[in-house]
Amino acid sequence: MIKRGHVLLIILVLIFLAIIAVQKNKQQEPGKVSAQGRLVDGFPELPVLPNSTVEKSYKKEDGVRIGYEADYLINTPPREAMIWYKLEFQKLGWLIYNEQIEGIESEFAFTAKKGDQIVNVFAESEDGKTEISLEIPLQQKL
Amino acid sequence: MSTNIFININRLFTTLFFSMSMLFFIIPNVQAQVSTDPNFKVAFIGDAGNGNNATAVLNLIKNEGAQAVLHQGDFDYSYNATAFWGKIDSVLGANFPYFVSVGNHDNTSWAEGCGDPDGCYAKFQKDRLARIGVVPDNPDLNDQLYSAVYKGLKMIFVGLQGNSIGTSTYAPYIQSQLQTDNHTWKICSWHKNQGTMQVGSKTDEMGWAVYEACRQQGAIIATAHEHTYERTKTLTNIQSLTVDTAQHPLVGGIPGNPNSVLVAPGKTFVFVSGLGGNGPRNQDRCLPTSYPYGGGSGCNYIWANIWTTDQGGSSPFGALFITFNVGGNPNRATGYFKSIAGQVVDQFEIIKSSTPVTISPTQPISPTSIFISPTPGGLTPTRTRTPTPPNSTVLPTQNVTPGQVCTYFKN
Repeated sequence: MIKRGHVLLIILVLIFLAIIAVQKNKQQEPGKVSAQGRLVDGFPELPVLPNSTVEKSYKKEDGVRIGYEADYLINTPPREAMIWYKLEFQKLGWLIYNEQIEGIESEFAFTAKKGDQIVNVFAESEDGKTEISLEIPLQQKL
Repeated sequence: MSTNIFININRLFTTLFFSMSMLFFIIPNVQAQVSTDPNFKVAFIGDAGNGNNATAVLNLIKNEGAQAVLHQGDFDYSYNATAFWGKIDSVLGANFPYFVSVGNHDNTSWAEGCGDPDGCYAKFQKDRLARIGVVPDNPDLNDQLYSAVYKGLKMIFVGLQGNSIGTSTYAPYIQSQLQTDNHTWKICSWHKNQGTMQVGSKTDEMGWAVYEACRQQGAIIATAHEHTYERTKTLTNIQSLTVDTAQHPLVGGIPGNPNSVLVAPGKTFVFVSGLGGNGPRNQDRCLPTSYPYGGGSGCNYIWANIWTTDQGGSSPFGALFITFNVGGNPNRATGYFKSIAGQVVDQFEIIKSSTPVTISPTQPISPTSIFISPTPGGLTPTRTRTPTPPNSTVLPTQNVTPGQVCTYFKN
């Protein structure tokens, strides 16, 4: 037989869990969906350096615009990784600009543009590995 | 009668003497404040790189008439001090006042005797200081700590090891430099951030002691590292993200008056100016991407203005300009961030005072300001000349959508 005290305890636990859930939701960035170890749903098809692993990714929306970011890890040195990405994007018809690869020693970057789509690509050493970031700033939804 | 006159005069002088003596004991530390030269304009940048965008930012600085630059680290990303300082000489001049704090992409070629055949950044900085007649507090810059005064602006530069020696070394250094300093305007300069002091993906890399030391002494905090631009409102506690609600009264729960900030012992504002030319980033936190930005945990509506690739397109590069001692008021400064495309994306007023100041009509800050309506992709914007109307103040844009930027003016 359930005593009144047990019922009270259950109610208190439920209230506690509800408070935690509300707090967690509050801390989420509005309009942002994140994923660990995989690409978020809807992440655009973009070149991916073979043998790299997805560290994390996210999608963010502000109503009419949508943006994405994905971070990958790989052992390939950052300069080599950036040259690979530059060539792959160019093969697919993207225009490359804001390039910081040649003559750079440590943190590499370029912007790729195709039609109205823009992708910013970054690579730098991070804790002995190379971290590659593909950032798609908020742009009109296609 | 003459005796009475003599007695009264004697009493008068005695009273005056004791009154002044009391003042001496009551207010022992009153010093005359030394402001900057009138209308002294300084540019703040970081994270430049060695490409065309970095050159464009330097040309912007030159064209805006800045009289000095504070570069908060990450110079050319090539560890080529000769080329980096050579570009400064070429665009701005060999004797242009250019002051730097060291970035993580400069570190191994910073110290004199660094062994880099392309030179060491600190040596070039020291030589430039000597050429322009600025004497640092300590001629040895190898510890990445130094301070200097130029045209009445007190500048304190600290290094990269905030997490390890920020509390034990950097903060006490800042304290010692500022607690008896009598300059009206003071700048604390360093490269890295704390996670909540930027809107990208950077983590805690400086510790809070340096931020709080500068705030306690009423110094503006200049940083970079995250390749974006953002500026806070007036903060009375930086670690806890506490906005001064006397200066920024709550409107619907959101601290208002974002474009009028105070600097005084115990309160200041922080900015990240990291769009000097290399790899611009987006806004990861404190969403949404339009004012009033985020108010949740870690954000608390502290941000007055944010400018990243989400707001400014693929080339949002530019510089923050602050002009000190404006309009004949040594305690007033004005700031604006301008992009290399000519967009003025932030305009604000700074008052050196602990008394709340309500936003007031201001004279146009830059008569050459041009507002550009960004097109999707941001590559070929159209140009519309829209100067700030006289006796008006730029209000924060409520919602920035591609294709049009609306600026609201208050008269």
